[in-house]
Amino acid sequence: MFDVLRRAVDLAMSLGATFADARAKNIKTEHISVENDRVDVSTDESLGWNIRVIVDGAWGFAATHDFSKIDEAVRRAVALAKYASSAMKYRVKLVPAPVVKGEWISSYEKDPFEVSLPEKIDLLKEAVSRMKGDALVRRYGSLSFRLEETWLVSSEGAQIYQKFIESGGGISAMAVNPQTGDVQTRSYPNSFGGQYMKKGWELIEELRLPAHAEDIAKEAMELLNAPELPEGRADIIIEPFQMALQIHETCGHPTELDRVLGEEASFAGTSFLTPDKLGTFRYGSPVVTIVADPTVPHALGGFGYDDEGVPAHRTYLVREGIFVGYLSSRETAAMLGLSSSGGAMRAEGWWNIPIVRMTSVNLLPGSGTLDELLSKLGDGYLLSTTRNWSIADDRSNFHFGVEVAYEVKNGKLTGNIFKKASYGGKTVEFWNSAEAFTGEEDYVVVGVPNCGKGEPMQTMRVSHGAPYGLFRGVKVGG
Amino acid sequence: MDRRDLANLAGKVLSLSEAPQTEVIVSYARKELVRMAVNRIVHGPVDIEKVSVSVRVRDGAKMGYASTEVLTDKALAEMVDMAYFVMKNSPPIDVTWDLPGADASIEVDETDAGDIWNEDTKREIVSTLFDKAESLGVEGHGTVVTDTMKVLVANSEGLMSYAGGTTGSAKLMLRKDRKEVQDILAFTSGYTPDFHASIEKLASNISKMDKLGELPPGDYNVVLGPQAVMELLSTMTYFSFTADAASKGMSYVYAQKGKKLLPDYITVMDNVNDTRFSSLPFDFEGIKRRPVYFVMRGTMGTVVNNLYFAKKLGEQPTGHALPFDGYFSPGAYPLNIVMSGGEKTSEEIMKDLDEYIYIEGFHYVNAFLDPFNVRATGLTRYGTYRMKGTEVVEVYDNARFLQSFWEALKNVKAVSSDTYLLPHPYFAGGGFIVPYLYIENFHIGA
Repeated sequence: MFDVLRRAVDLAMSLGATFADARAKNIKTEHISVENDRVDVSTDESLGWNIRVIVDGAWGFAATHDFSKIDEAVRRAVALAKYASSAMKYRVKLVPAPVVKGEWISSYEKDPFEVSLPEKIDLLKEAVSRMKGDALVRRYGSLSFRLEETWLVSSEGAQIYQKFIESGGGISAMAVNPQTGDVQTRSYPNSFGGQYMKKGWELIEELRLPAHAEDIAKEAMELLNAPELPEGRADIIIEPFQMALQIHETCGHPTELDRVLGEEASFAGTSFLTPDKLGTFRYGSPVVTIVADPTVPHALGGFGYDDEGVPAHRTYLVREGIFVGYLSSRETAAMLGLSSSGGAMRAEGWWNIPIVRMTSVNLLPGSGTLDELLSKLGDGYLLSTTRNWSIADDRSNFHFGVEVAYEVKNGKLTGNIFKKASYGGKTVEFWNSAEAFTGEEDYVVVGVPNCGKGEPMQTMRVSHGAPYGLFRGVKVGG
Repeated sequence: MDRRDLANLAGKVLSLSEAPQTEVIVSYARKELVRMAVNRIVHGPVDIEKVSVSVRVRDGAKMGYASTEVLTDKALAEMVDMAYFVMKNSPPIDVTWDLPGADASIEVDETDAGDIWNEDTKREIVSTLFDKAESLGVEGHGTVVTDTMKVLVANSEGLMSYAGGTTGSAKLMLRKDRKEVQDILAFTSGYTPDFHASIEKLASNISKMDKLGELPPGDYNVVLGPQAVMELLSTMTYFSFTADAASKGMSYVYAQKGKKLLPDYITVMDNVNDTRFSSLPFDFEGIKRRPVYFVMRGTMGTVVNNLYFAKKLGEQPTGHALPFDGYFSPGAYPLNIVMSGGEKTSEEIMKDLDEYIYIEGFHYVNAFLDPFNVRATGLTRYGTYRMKGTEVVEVYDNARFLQSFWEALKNVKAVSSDTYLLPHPYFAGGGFIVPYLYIENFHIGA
C-alpha cells in the first residue's frame, strides 16, 4: 500500500506540488440492532485512497475507490489546486511537523469481529426481552464494531500505519402515552447508541446491557406520569454522559481553530473563543481544566498520529478556568502564528479531506465521590442522559434536554423524578458556575461516534473524559 | 461508470445468490465541492468518487443484507456470503412482502443540471462572491457543489430500474463580525436560479445590518423566509412524516389522519413529480415514488413508507424506501417536500403588515424533547429583523426560540405565492420547495 501512495505523492511533486500527502483507509463495520422482536444486521467494507496537494499555495484534493486511477486522481487534485490558487490571494503555509515513520495499533483484548453473530444477537435479545410494559413502543438495543486501517505517506517523508478496533453498545426503552402523544425514553449507558471505546468485545461485557434493561424500561414508563421539571433557577449535578455533551458542544467545538478562523461559518458556525481571548479570558471557574488528549487509553478519539502524521499529544484548552489553547492543524497553527500543530487533523474516511476535529477532549476530574457531591449540592437536581440539544452557531449559548431529572433534597436522592427536563444558558456563565467535580472513581471516558462537521459532512469519532459536576444557579425547565 | 457497469455489478451479485429472493442496489456518486471562507478557498476543492453495492437476501421471513465499496469479485462474493450468514442467523421478521417484478422496472433519461457543471460557471460564482465581498469590506463564504448520482436497483424477480443525473447547489454567504446573510440555490434540469441576483440581494441585505440588538423573549408575529421554512419542514419530516414515526405513535400526522387541524391554505406533500426536482423516480426497492400528502388543505394526510411498513401499517406502498442499512429505522423518508404557495406574493404580504419580525433562517433545530408536537428549539440565523412593511426597523443578533412547529402551522395567516427550490442538505437531488410564511404568536426565548 505504501508503494502505491508513494507513487501518487511522487507524481504530484513532479507536477508542481510543493507538498503532497496520500492516505488510504480500509474500514470494516458491523452494526447489530434489535428493535422489539426485529433483528437488523448490517455490515460494510470500504477501501479507497486520496491525494492532497499544495500547488501555487492552494490545496487540491481527489479521492477514489479505484487504485488504478492514480494518474487521473493526482492530475485532478493538482488541477483543482491551480484553480483554487487562481481564485484567491491567500497562500497556504504549514508549521513544521516531525517526520515520522511508524505505526500505532489500538489495544484490545478480544477482537469483536471474531465473536459470533448469534452470540451478539442473543445478548441484545436478552436485554430487550427484559424490558416489559404495555406502554413500551420501542425496546431497543444495538452493538457496533469498527475496524479501521490507515496508511499515510507524505512528500516530507512520513510513512505511518495505524489500526483501530472500536466497539460500542447501548439499550433504550421508549414509552408512549397514546392519549397525549407524550414520548419518554430512558437509555443505558447513554442515548443515541450507548458507549463507544477503542476496545474489543470486552467493552460489551463490561457494559452488562441485560442487567440494566428492566430498570430503564420501568423508568421510561414512570416518566409518562411524572411531572415536568419546573422552570426556574436551580443548583444541578450533571452526570458524566451528559457532561460529555456539555464539553463537546461548549468547549470542543469552539476551540476548533478552523472554526475560529471562519472556515465553518457557512455551515456549522463560528466561535466566541476568538484569538484575542487566548491566554487571558476566564472561560470557567478555577475548577475547570479541559485538555485535548488523544493519548488517553481506549478513548474513542484516541490515536497515535493525526491524519497529517502529527504525533498524538496533550494540549491544554482551558487551564484552571482560563482559555489557553486551540485544537489545530499545521495550516491553522501557521495562520495564528503558533509554532506547532495541535495534532487535531482528522478525516472520517478515505473519501474525506482532513479537517480540524476534536480528539479526546477531557474535563479533568476533581476529587471525591458522587455521594460527596450530592451532599455539597444540598437541594437541587441530578440531570441524566442527553435527549435534546441545540447550540448557538458561535457556541456562546446552549439549550440541552435530558431524559430524566432526579430530585435531590438535603444531599440525598428523594426518588422523585421529572420529565421534559432541560437546562441552558450562556456558555461562559455556565462554566463559571461550576463548583466541583467528582474524582477518578466516577470518571468516564465517553465515546461520541457521530460528531458532524465539514462539507461534505464528515462524521467523526471523538471522546470526552467526564466526571459528575456541580453547577449553581442554572436556568432549568422550559 | 455508466449504466452498463452498474448493471454488470448487479448481475454478478444476483448470479452469486441462491436465495429465493435477492435484491441489489448499485450506486455511483461523484461530488465536486468548492468551499469558500473569508474570501478564500479552504481545504482545497475536492473531487470524490464512490461506488457502493448492497445486497439483501430473503428466504420466507428470514432476511439478511450486507454492503461493500470494494468491487472485486472476491469482495462481492464475501458480501453475498455475509448476507446469507446474517439471514441464517437472524430470527424471522414480523411481516413479509412480495418483491416488484420486471414489469415494474423504470428507466429514465439521465438528467443534467446544465451550466453549474461548467468549470467557468463555478469559477464565476466564486469570483463574483469574492469580488462583491471585497468591495463591501465583508467576508465571502459558502460552497459550490456538483453531484452526479447513478442508481440501479435490481432483483431476482427480474426488476431492473435505473436513473441518474447531475445536480448542483450553491450556498452563498456574506459576513462581517456577527452579521451574516445567506442564500442557498439549487440547480437541476428544471430549475436554474440566478446567482448574480442572489449575490446582489445578499449585498443589499448585509448593508442594512447595522448594530445588532437583542430580541427580547416573547410571542411575535413573524415572517419566515424560505430557509427557515425548509428547516421547519425538515425537522417535522423526521418526527411526523415517516411510517417509522407512525408505527411508534410519534407521528402527529398519522395519529390524527383525516382531521382538519390547520388552515385551508396549508398543503404539504412529498412530490417527486414536480419538475423542479431531479430525483430518482423510484425508491431503493424499485417502487415508483407516489406523491404523498402529509397535509392537504389543512387536513392531516398520511406518511411515507417502504414495503415493510406498508404491510405493517396496512397501507399502499408509497415508494420511499431508503437503502437496506436504513430500512427499518427510519425506513422510508420523503426527499422531495413541497409546501404549496398561496395567493399573494411575499412582497405583497409583507407590504401589508404593520410590524413583524422577519427571520431568514433557523439553525441547529432539535425537537426530541417533545417529538409528537415537534416542540423545537433552535436559533434564528442569517438575518433577524424588526420590520414595518418592507422596511427594516431594527436588526437583531440570532435569537433562541422554543416553539411547537405544529402550533406554528396552526397560526399561519398567509402563505406566499412565490416558492423556492432549496437543495436537500443530505440527499443529492432531493430538496424542498417552500414559500414564505406569515405566522402569529411565534415564541422567541427558551
